[in-house]
Amino acid sequence: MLTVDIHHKRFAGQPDVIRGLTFSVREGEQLALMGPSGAGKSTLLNMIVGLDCDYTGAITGHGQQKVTQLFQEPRLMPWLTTMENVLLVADNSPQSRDRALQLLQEVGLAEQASLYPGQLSGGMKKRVALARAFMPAPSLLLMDEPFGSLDLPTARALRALVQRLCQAQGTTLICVTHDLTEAVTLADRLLFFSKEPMTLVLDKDIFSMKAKGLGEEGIDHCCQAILQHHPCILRGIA
Amino acid sequence: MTAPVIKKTAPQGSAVAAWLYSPRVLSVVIWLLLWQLVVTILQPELLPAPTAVFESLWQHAVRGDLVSQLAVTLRRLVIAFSLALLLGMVLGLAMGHFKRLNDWLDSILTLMLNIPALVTIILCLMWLGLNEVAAVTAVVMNKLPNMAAIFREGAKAVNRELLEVAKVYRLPASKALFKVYLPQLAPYFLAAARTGQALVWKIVLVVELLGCSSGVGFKLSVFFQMFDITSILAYTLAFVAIIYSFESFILRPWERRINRWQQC
Repeated sequence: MLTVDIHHKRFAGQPDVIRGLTFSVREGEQLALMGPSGAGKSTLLNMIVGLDCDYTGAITGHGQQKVTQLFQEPRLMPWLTTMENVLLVADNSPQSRDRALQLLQEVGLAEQASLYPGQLSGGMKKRVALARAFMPAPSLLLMDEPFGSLDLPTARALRALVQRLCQAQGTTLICVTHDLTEAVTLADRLLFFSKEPMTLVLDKDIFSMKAKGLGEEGIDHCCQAILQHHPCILRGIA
Repeated sequence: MTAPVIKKTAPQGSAVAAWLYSPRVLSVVIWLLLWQLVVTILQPELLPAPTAVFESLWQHAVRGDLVSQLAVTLRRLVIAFSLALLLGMVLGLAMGHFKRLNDWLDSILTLMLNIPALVTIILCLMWLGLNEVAAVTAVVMNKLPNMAAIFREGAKAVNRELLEVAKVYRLPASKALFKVYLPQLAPYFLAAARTGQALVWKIVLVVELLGCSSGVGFKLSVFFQMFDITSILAYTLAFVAIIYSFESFILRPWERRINRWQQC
């Protein structure tokens, strides 16, 4: 279980960005983090993944886990081919190569394995980044508005892919998003934060709420129900 | 969907022919023919014909003098160039990454960049004596600030987001260095190598001319005293040919190799 207990987080010369924030995530749980822009959601992800350690409090339970992150931008190495980018986070053993190829097949890019990122479209780059994120078989995957810049069909396909891979590997997911549909599609639980400082205002279990398997209509119903009961979420929707 | 890249490989013979008829080679041939023509028509006293220069080159090479002197100069050049590149890279990257260090060293670097090469050479020879160490130090001191300035810009241009990827995925230090960090510095490394090879050998010759008793620079000073223009041109030709070969057969292929992702 991952436990977040942050007392204070501030940047030099500025008031607290996060104050008194506590929540925990069960193993295999899919969590969506929402809130207004500038609330500190990306900062929180950076703290969980260890890129930002300048805070008081503690984040525990992820030390022994394999944590990976899917950033807003694909962040691929332009000088490495698609295959090399995926293999970057693994050793170069034949098993790793097989796994990388299998993941590239999953994301539909096996034929582009020898191409460089400059030869791929934006959606393809995201898929490569996704394959890279799942390459180490992560126990915890962090995503920071990963599909925000993509067209709807591509974003929908990639969300389904994330869901499938997370379920197949039992990966815990924490996803920052401004898109309620994305949150409901991907997550079992929704946390909503207010800003200045970032504090938790809503912790909603949506697993029981959303009718899994009913497709887009079920998701839409679920979104509407959430908005009806918690209009505050409107402040966090892009 | 992007079409797969198809690599075309030309036959070796046609590649050589293409190289021979390329503007790069043809321009040199035309320049040599013009030179020969001018000398044949005008017969100037102070300009020997290219044929005479090539003959002198052959004579110096056969006598063994040219080869040994070239070897001495090349050894100095390689040592000085490697030291300047290595130290300049370490200093430049450190300055680019640590602002406080940059604040402390920036003025000194600017000062060193503006000291005339001749002054550094004379001072090194006076302080360290007319020896090998002084010769190499003089070249390194001249080139190091330039290398450091190039690598400092490189360090500033490094994409922090890509470094974060290495950190998040806990890449081993060597992998992060060679797959994430250094490839970003490749253009700066190339710029440093190119400006370095273009300038360092000229500085080496001046150092040898002023304070050494061996090397191409020393021989040039001897030929100067003997007013032997043909030998001066023969030695210059031999040395320039080596530098040109380094550029053509090492630097350019290496550049193509590390930039191939940009050409796709």
